[in-house]
Amino acid sequence: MNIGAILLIIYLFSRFFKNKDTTGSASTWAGQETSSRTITVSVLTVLLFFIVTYVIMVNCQPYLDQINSGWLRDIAWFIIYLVIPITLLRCVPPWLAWRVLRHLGHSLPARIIFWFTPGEAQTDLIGFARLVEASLGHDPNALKPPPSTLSRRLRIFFMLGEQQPEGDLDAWAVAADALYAEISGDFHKAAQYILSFNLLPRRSQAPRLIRIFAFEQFALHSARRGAWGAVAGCAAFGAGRSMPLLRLLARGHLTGSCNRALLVLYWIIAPCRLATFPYLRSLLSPQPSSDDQKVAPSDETFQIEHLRLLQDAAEGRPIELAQVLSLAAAWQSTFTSESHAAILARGMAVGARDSHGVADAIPEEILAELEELVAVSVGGLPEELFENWDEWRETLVGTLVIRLRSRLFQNLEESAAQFYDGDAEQPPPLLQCWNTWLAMHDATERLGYLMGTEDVATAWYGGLQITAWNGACRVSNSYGSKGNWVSYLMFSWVVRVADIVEDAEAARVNRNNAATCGIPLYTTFESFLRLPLSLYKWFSGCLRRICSFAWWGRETPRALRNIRSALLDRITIVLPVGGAVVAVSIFLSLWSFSDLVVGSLVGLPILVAGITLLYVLALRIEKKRQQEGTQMTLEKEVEETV
Amino acid sequence: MPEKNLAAENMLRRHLANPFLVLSLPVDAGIEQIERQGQKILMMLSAGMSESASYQTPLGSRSLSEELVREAIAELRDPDRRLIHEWWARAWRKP
Repeated sequence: MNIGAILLIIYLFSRFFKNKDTTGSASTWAGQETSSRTITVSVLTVLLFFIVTYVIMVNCQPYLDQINSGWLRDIAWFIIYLVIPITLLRCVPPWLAWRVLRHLGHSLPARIIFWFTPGEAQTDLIGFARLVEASLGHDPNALKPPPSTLSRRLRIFFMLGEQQPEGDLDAWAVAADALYAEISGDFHKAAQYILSFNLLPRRSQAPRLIRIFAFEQFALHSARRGAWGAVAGCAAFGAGRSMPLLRLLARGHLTGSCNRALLVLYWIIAPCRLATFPYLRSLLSPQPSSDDQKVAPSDETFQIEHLRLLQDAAEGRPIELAQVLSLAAAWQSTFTSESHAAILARGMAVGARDSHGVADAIPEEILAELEELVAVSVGGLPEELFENWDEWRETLVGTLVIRLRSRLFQNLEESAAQFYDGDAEQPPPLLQCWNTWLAMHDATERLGYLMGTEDVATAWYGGLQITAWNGACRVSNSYGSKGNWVSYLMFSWVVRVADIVEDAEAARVNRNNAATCGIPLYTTFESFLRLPLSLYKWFSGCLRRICSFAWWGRETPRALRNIRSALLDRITIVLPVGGAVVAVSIFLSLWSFSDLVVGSLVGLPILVAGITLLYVLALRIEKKRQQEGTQMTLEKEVEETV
Repeated sequence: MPEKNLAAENMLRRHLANPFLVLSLPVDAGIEQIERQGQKILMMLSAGMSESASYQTPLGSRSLSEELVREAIAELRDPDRRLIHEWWARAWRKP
């Protein structure tokens, strides 16, 4: 059978990607103790697998027998008896939990059903519970009232555990907090939290279920308030069937044009059809002609525009920085010597005591208002402003830009001062660290966006480097695995800024620091390739737990421990043994077909040579991994002295 | 709901409470005219006449109160303050 060879190749790929991207000592599998739940779910999954396979076999075997081509039959067999049952067992519990039970508002049953999802760790169960709570509009960080007797018994039976209000701040928690902030109207916080996912390397992913469920809900809530920019951002990072639809809807609403046939097709494929139907209808219905559209009153002066912008800012509506600057330029045109003389003359007429003071106070008053508008505005500075800076420097616009710059630096300094104080006796709560870091991150990003790289470099070498770097190290050291996710993002951001300001040393060390945080960074394809490895680890973990003498209150014998660690951790043993098994199975399968003996004579040496090559590769991987482990430990110590 | 900006809200409120807008007077109105108009509006407000309940601003009509009227009269009695309000009131006027 060729299945063995396929499995071996996939297994080798998965081993390769494990060594390529798993990050450090706290990796997903290393040292992870197999829980009783894993064993229970494993047994149930295997049982269900055989039931599903049996049902499929009864219905599909007659059709399989009709396929004449051997290789086509093998592929069909692989898909029907392996891919389909595994997909069903993996996908149905989360689908039922999220799409049905959560949708109906049943939080606890949703958690119970999700419990049956194979391959999910304890952190995923807790994270999913937080996400369900957030999507139902409940604060995921709030203290829960004591559960009822039934609820408590169910939790004990399903080993769900109690939610800790001060639990891990991982990707699930960040996504749940972002979703709750979006639902409760704190859009700034929601955007901050969601944008933090952008710090992940390109094409890498948060756990896939987060990208499917959390980002979909977030995008739907953003669409409900008409924030299509936020929808586009979510859809770019999210995963699943709904994302193509949300991407197209966002494009349609932002640009006014999209492929309608594709839109309908995506809507049919996507979930949440009822929720997205109004947006689909609005794009499919004929657009009003330009004559029907509301035309802004043309006689509006810039002074009235000033009032309108103040009104928009007061009500929290977004205003463009370019609008404010053009307003400043318009005000500038009114400050002439004639207008100054007119104020003085009018002052004399009404008997003012300090006409000069009034004439000087008016531009200052306007400047203060424009400064307030600039502080809440969005968008960048126009290019021509920097190109002709000498012309603008002495004007109201130039003064505004200079004040904006010093305000940006001041904001950055204040936010950096609030981020993790190393002199404090007790480390602050992790959530507080995260929020203060986000404020510092935002302030730096805004400084860079508006004023350019040079100013970021000024801030970086003026103290931001030490604050960001040391703060990230302190978070990593103080909270350990609880803060892995956020410390990973913090280190990644330090790397990003260090790359921008060309601080090669900081970038190098923090890249290694990020790698020690234990965040698996697999693309979807790589995750798929890792599936056999995950299954292998899963079953061997169960076996280890069941066979462990500690299970029965005795110490595990040294010989058994050695065999176990060799099976689990030594790629140099696993590869040749796996290869030999597959080679024997292939030889036996070829032996039963005499017409393929010639093929086996050619194929076997190639296979043996391939396995030898892979053995050498495995040795190199093992050696490299050991070297990296030593290097990372050293770097971690070095960075503490900075 | 979007987050409100209190500083911008205060600035807007101050502009829309410009005494010349509140009293519906031209910027060159004399002090006697201001006093007379102020008393008239106060009487209308105390009589509960509906037409005195609001005044026009560049951003639409706003509700009027006795306190706002008294404040407007007091502001215009000070020549320095009046000069500033005059300047702003000229700016709000449509060309």
